[in-house]
Amino acid sequence: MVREADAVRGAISMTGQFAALEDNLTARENLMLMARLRGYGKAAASRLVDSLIDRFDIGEFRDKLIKSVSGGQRRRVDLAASLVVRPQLLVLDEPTTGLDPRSRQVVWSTVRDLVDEGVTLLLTTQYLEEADALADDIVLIDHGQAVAAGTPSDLKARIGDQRVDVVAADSRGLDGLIDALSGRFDLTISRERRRVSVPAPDEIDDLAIVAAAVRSSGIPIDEIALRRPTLDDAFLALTGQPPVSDTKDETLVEATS
Amino acid sequence: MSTATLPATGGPRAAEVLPPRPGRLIRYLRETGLLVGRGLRAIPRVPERLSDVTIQPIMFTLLFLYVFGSAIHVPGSYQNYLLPGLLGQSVAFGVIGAGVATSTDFTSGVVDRFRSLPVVRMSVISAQVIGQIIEQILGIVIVAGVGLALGWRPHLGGWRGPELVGLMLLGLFSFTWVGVLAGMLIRSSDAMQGIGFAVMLPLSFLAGTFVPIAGMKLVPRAIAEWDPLSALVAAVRQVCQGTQSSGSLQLDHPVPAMIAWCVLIIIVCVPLALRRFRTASA
Repeated sequence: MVREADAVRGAISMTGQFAALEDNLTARENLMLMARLRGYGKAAASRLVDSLIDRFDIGEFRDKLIKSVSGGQRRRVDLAASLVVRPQLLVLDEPTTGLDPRSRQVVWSTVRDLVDEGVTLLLTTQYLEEADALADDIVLIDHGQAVAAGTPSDLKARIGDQRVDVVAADSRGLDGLIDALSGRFDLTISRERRRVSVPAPDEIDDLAIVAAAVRSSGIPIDEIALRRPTLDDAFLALTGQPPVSDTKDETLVEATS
Repeated sequence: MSTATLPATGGPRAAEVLPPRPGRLIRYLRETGLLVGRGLRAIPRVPERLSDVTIQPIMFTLLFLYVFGSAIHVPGSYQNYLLPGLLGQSVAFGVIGAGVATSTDFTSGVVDRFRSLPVVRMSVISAQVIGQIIEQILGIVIVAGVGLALGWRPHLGGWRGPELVGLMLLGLFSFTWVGVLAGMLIRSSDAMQGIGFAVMLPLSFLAGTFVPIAGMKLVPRAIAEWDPLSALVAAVRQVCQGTQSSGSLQLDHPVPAMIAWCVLIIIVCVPLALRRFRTASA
């Protein structure tokens, strides 16, 4: 590793939580600098940079100084910069934290493309939805301890079957729902989401039964749905608490093609 | 997620082929040039970054020439006393500029990004030093121009001109390394700015930059006589105006003393800075 440091640096790329870019250069100049430092001649660097600009949808702010672009745009340039290396292993530390939805989509689709092209990806994220969308293998980390590992479907399977979720229209309605349903069903209650959740091993039949019970109670609801467990449910079930925004509680995600 | 086969080569990722890697020295020069270019390109976009090498010395020039100057008595014109002093101070204040720029780069993570690339590592720190020296030279040229316009008359006949340039470059080189080292150790540009001024300003005021050392009270005079900046200022003044300073061994021979200080600084700071650069993490 030490002796072949340059070869290692040529194969690995990492993007930290905070964009490491030169504020007083434009997006394109930053990428050009990285590409030239990587060893490309001017023309080749220019072609590579233009393809990255396309890929990350940077075109509209390519000639703006980095200090004057938005956080999401900055992040995209940062990711593009980390791909100048053409890594075999890409390490991303919370790549979409604080991003606007459009930037997040750009990052996700690019990451998927990279994995399809053969790049191994190691990423940490607080968003279990992101892990679910991108990962082949997931390690859930709670307070610095790995609490579970497996594929997304493994993890979800561990917490069991589908559920019926009922979201009350207001918190008084939630109390009503709890009164109406608690005698007949095994409820999981989430007050902050005004939601009660019922196991549904018989799937659509259970949905019909719960729906009938809700209807006869006459309580106004926002939503009733049959859904597969999410990684959030898995995290809750495995750690006994919701994922908190503590940097130690991260989900380590790995995707390989 | 795809678990299909690996596309070995081909596909978009192999579209550009890297040219064969040249030798280490060629790569070092090329990368240093690229990184110096990065620093210089930023200058016109943040002119205020140059304020500490331009506006500030101009303020010193005006304040001392027209406010304090009438109360300071020196042989000959005060312009001819003050301007060489300010040139010396500009060299020494390179510590602050280099320190602030270095700590900014290190905290922003941009240095880590450069280091994550397969580059010759020395090129990152060399570019920092060269870029800073170029910035300081810009400032010094402006100060000298303002001085000349306000009546400074240096006597730079014969070899004096090249001697002055050589001394200033040596001074800039060594003091910039002090700044780079300090910037890596302090790691906050605000703190660097504050500490830099707290240390450099008194040293500069003591160094006979603005008022002659000979008129100082016992304790400040004793410090001033061995202040490295005194040697720097006295050397520049001797070369520019032919003024002979005296008072201590280094003031009797300011040019060799200044060279000795610079060499000492280089011997101490360069290896420390390089070591720090190699080991500094994130």
